[in-house]
Amino acid sequence: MSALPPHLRDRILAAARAEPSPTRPVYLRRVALVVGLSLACSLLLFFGVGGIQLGDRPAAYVGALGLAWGLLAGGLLAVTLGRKASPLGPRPELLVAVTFAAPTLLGTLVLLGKWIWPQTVECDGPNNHDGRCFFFAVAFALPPLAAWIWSRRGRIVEHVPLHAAAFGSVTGSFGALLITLRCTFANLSHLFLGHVLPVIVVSVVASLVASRTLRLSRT
Amino acid sequence: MSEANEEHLATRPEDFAMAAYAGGDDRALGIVYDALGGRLFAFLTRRARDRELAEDLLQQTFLQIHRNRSSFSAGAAVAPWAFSIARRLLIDAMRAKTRLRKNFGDRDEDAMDRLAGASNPELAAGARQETAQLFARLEALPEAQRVAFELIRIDGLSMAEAAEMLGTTVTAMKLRAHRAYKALGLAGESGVDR
Repeated sequence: MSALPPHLRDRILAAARAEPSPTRPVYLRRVALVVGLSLACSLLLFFGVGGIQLGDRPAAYVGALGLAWGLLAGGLLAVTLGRKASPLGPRPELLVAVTFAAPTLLGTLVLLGKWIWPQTVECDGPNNHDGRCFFFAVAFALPPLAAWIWSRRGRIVEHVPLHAAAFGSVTGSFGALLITLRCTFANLSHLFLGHVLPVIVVSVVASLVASRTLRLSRT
Repeated sequence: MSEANEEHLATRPEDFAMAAYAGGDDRALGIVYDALGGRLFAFLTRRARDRELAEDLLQQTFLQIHRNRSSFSAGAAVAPWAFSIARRLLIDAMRAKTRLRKNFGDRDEDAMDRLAGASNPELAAGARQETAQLFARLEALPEAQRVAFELIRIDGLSMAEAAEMLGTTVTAMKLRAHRAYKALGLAGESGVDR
């Protein structure tokens, strides 16, 4: 029989006592601070490049798209962050669903907006704006993604790439929301290339980067 | 305290202890250890087939629980998390030592006794032989069913705990376990309602 050796209890408890670890209230305060700073970075950049700009777009179009996009990102964030407070996080199929739902639903909202406000077809611009919007959407998404990676480093036990991809999709949606409020061009190909594609790219990058940094590490 | 909480405290004191530990009560880790240490050690010993390595991994598991105690919030279950950490550390250790073998290819005495004892309290040589045959049949099962059987029948996890550990639903877990029990000819003992 593999009976538990009696000396192990003292050894393990002594090792734990010797190593400081933050309690949950301390950790939550730190996370709140870091996430707050990261969002401030994104918003500073957003307002630094001009903030909300309507251009020729109807205000109702921008407001509705921004609100729907924000609610979607918030909903996906809630799904990604927790499953009944389990430290193991959401089930893998939920993470996969979030990863794919974000760009799919954002694209659907773009099409829906175009259907409700067809006059936005007129809000066209030069093709080289695709790359600029792509760049800024990714830049807006990176600070919160970095904050999340910092807060979860060495903590995720299972399905590390899936966790990272799902959170990358959420922060990518946040970046897409900001660039949609900022960018005055509303033709379909631009919205897909400059606003929705970054969500997929941030998700893939997050998955690749986080695979090494987030996994629970043995010392 | 609500009735549900009182019942939970009676059946799963380790969850409350872990929540207290996450909140800063350093003495509570001892309660978590007392509740889970034996089960985790059996889990690790059976798979590692090396007592020293199992002791080291048990220590690492509790150190990870300690380091990441801030990940644990009240209302969560500690067992699936602890078993997942142990399993992850075990996989890493076995890979590092290039000693990854197929689980249960060479069963240890502990698992044999537990399995045989569960179906026949008065363990006899015949029962042990039957158990050895059962292990052979277990090995032939699909991975998902075999793991479900091991976690529930041998490691003593509940359906909900095993489902959480493997990142699946309780319904899917019950189905896997039921199929495993059926394939092993233990359908009457499946206890899928746990």
